Amino acid sequence: MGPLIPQGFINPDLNLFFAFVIGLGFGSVLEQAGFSSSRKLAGLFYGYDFIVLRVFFTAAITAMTGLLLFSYLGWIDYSMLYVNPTYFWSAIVGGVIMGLGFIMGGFCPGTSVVGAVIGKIDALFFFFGMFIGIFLFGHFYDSFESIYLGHNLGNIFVFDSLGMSREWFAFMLILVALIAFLITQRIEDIVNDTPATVRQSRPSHFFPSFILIFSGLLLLLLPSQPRNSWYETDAKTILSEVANKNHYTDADEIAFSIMQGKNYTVLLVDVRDPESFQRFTLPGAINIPLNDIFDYNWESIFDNHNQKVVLFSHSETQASEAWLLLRRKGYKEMKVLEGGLNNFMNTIFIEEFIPERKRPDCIDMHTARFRTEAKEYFTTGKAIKKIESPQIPVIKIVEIEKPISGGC
Amino acid sequence: MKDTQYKLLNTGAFLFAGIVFLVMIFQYFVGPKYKVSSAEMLEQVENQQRWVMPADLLSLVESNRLQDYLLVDLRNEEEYNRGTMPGAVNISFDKLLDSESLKQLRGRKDIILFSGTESQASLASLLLAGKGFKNVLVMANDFSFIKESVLEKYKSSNAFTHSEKAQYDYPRFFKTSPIEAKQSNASKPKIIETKMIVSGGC
Repeated sequence: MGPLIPQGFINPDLNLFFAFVIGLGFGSVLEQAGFSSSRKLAGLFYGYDFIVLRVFFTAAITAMTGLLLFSYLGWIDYSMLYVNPTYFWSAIVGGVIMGLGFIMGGFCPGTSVVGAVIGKIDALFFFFGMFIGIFLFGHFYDSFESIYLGHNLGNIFVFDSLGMSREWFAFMLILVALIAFLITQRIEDIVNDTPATVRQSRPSHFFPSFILIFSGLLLLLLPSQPRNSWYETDAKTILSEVANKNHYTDADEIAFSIMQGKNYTVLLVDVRDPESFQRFTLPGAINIPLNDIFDYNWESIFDNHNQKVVLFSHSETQASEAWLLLRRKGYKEMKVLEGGLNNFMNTIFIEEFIPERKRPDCIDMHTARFRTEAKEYFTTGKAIKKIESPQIPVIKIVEIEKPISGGC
Repeated sequence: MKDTQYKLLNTGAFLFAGIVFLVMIFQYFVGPKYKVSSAEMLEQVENQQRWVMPADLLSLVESNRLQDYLLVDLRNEEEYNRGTMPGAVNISFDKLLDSESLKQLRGRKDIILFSGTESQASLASLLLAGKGFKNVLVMANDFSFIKESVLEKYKSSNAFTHSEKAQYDYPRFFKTSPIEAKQSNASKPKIIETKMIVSGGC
């Protein structure tokens, strides 16, 4: 389902609106945590207040655990998330400048805005200084560029560099965070000389720690991707559908739907390779090669309840395989062209229609007449004129571009 | 005051995590039980090693190694009685996932499936793969073809024949197909690309 904007659930034009809403929330949380006070932030370096470390570390491990759990549940597509590439030199230089500014001004960019909003004069100065910095950076960008973009390491991950799995890293990070909380609390107590009564009256942090450690353990024990999803179709249901031939649609019906042209309720999907598709395909068909079938671009096509999707290939083998895979994924309106293109040509053009009964009845005569008509229709090339607009879904792909901004 | 706030936060976090865990447990029990994921099933589909082509079958027959395999005839009993491969057992397709049939197949490493249609045999192999069977082979072509063109009268031109081949020159039937091909190529889904700039930081 997620991420919502790149998947097209939310219009990218609403980006700024959501940025505004999230910004409001973020600012209010920072203010709640007391980050508008430069004393609190500087406390990190002097040892009397570690709340900055605790808040950011908690945010990081909570987000991490949630992301991994949601991705396991299939609520977020992990592969679509944007990962900031690592530029070695700009990371080091930026880190040094940021740290110096932090210890000197007592703010980081986000908290300086919060401080400025509630009217702190030092925060206002910090805020304007930041703008001067942005201006200078923009002005002299050309001379900085080689450093700024130098030594691009790409999208590297800490767990890859350490040679451990993502889940192990997540679990270790949770443990490290919890231990860091305990140690920093102790350092705070020693520096501030907290009286024993205050120390003992602190609320217990057992529950939140327990939840985090439990989630970490769960992620370790579960496979990285679930084998089954709850929305998938049971093997026995699929088997009985195939055994009862419910998954077939016959050549006559497809011929009829092509001849109907405009009133298309059937979307023909060619699962053969692109070369065969280029050479020949049925009118109005779209090409989704079998090995590409799970690409998320096609989801909106298969999920469209207004039309039946008919899969076809040369024979019915590949189409049936595609059908099985899609049916397992939980799509319902799926059919296979019985016998594939070979049988289609056979029925419409080659075989003479011979009714099974000796005395053809009304239905047989209709079938015979329909096939003659269809044959004429296709051989004279009428099929081309009629297909004006088979319902073609519009797919939006949001390409994510490398940002030139960032940092906290 | 601070205490109650803290308790509220605690309960909130606990409730949220509890709901997520409950959903996980629920999803686990509601979902069907496959032993392989759909992506692995797709790999299985793309794996060309699982096909027993006519040439392979002939070499198995000639070298008398066909007995090493468990041949499974997926057609119904009537068709099975009318004639089948030597040494084949009958498990009709609609009974494939019954516990008896699975017991019969379980533990056997070399299974070759064949059926009245190639597609049915292939689907059966995928369903078995979903049940955790590995290396289930599928005989290419329909059984009637196998019987006539491989077992009775083998032609070397049929060595790599399988159903998934074009039997006709299709454009012959559709008069203006070159234009057609172009048109349908244009009717691929319209893809609108939007560029989005992500900026991060706190």
